Amino acid sequence: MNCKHITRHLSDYLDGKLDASLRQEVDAHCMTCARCREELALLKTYHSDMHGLNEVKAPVNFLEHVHARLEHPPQKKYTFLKNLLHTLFVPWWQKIPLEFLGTSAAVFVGMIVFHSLHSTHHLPPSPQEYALQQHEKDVPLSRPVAAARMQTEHLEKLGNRGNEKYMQQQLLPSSLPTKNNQWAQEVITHDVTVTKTDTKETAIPSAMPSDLNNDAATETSDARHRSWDEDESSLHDSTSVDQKIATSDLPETSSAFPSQRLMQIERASSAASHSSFEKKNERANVDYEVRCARFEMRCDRAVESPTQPFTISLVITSDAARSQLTALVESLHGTVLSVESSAMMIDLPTTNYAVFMQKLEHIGRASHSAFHPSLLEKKSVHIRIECVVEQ
Amino acid sequence: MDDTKQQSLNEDLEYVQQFQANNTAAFDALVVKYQHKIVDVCYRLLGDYEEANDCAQDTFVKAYRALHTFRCDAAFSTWLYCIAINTCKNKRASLSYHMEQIFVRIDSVRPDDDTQYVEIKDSINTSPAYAFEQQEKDQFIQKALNTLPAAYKQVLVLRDIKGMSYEDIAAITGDNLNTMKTKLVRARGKMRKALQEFFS
Repeated sequence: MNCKHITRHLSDYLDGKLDASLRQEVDAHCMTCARCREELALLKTYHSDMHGLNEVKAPVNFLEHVHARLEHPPQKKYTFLKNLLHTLFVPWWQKIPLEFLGTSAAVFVGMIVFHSLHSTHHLPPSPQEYALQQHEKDVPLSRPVAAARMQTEHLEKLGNRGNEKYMQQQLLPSSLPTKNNQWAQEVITHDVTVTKTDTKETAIPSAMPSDLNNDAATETSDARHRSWDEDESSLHDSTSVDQKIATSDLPETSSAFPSQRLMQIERASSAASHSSFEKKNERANVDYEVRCARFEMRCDRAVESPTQPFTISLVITSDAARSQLTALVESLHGTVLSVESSAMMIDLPTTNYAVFMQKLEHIGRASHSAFHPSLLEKKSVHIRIECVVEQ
Repeated sequence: MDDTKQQSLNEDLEYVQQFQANNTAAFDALVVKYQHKIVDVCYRLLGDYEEANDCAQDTFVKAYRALHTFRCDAAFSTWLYCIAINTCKNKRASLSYHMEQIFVRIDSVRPDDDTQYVEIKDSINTSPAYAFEQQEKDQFIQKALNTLPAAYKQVLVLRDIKGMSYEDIAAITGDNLNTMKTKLVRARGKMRKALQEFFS
């Protein structure tokens, strides 16, 4: 038996609990091992010290105290409070850290829950969202346009900007029109119509540049657009207004001077549509600005493709600005490609773009979406200027 | 079991039976018989005479209220020690005890050490020098005991100071016999080291 086993049995040895054989072994080992012998001697000293400890006596009147306590048990004051404090803080080195951790976790979870609830349900709608909601309340959407709008908004949420293929896939399900570009342009044009519907001045027919000389196409397109953004009564009115503009009031020839034609369109459309849109004049200018912002956002999507025209929204205060605009384009070696009632398409050398934008500020408040870098590689850029007259 | 112990057990049994027969004077006899032992155990466990006295009184009050249900399966002394140890345990866990350990009342008349309550056992050597030496040793042992964990302190007090059997200690502490033995060995080792530190 080695020292480790002997040490383990020394306690029982002192208490006399070892059997005879083990006791003999311990004795024999301690005779030879000085270390175990010393350990045994120390234990014996300890044992004698503990046994020699004097007994603490109870006080003389202990019995009387017990009797008194039996007859009048001490009233426990603040028992509930003491129990509560005891439950919460004893032992403090265990309870306080645990309580701290628990409280921190609860606060953290609470903050997360509050933040998520606040961010999803309690945030007020942004100005654009508010304006769109108001507009959708007022104007019932036609079915294909509503579907297109939902898909476009879904695309915006995904944040997949500039992915033309993806955009086409999302915007063009099999049941919708076949020409991809036509559909995309239609979406944009509808947004333009939103802007114009809210203006106090005119109900301007929107048509793509290629459809400028095609009056029939313009009519159908306008009728379709107004079915989305106007109620039925105003639809009939505005359709008739457009027919008047397209058929009787304007010259059929496309060789007329663009600015002249623009002025004629403007005058005719404003005179004809003033009565039909009089009821809508209560709308605030703020609404108009908001819609315009939305319009730009949509254009930003379309302009990312360098094949499509870059769009500038110009807010002007007088009709004379149209002729200034034409003069400015010509002075910068640009050409006016087409003129619509509210928009004109120009071709401008890319090098003159910055100067054009500077000088445009003298005519009106111009706002434009981001200039696509790939446009700089071209010699000239096609710019579509959406003109909005502000009173 | 020696005769004195057997005689003591029989005496306890007689007192208990008398008490259960509505003789409250029998309880007084039990208090007088065990008061010093219970106070001593409480003092060794708590390290404070006033607290020990309070706990001992509580112990007897609890015993008085529960003695009617005592079935005499175990010795009365074992049962009483069990109550005393549990009372001390509760006292140590109580908030007021912790507060008193932290804050000392400024008007406290309690002496620094409780050696005045200690009775000198040895009647042969009653010289002042021996008494002083014995008191100092008791003080060191108590300080060493106070450093031990409560579980070790219990088995050490019951075995090495009160001289109880392993079985009784296991019954009082509620431990398995082997667990109790292991605790005792470890407690002795720790106590011996603590004593060495104090004496050195």
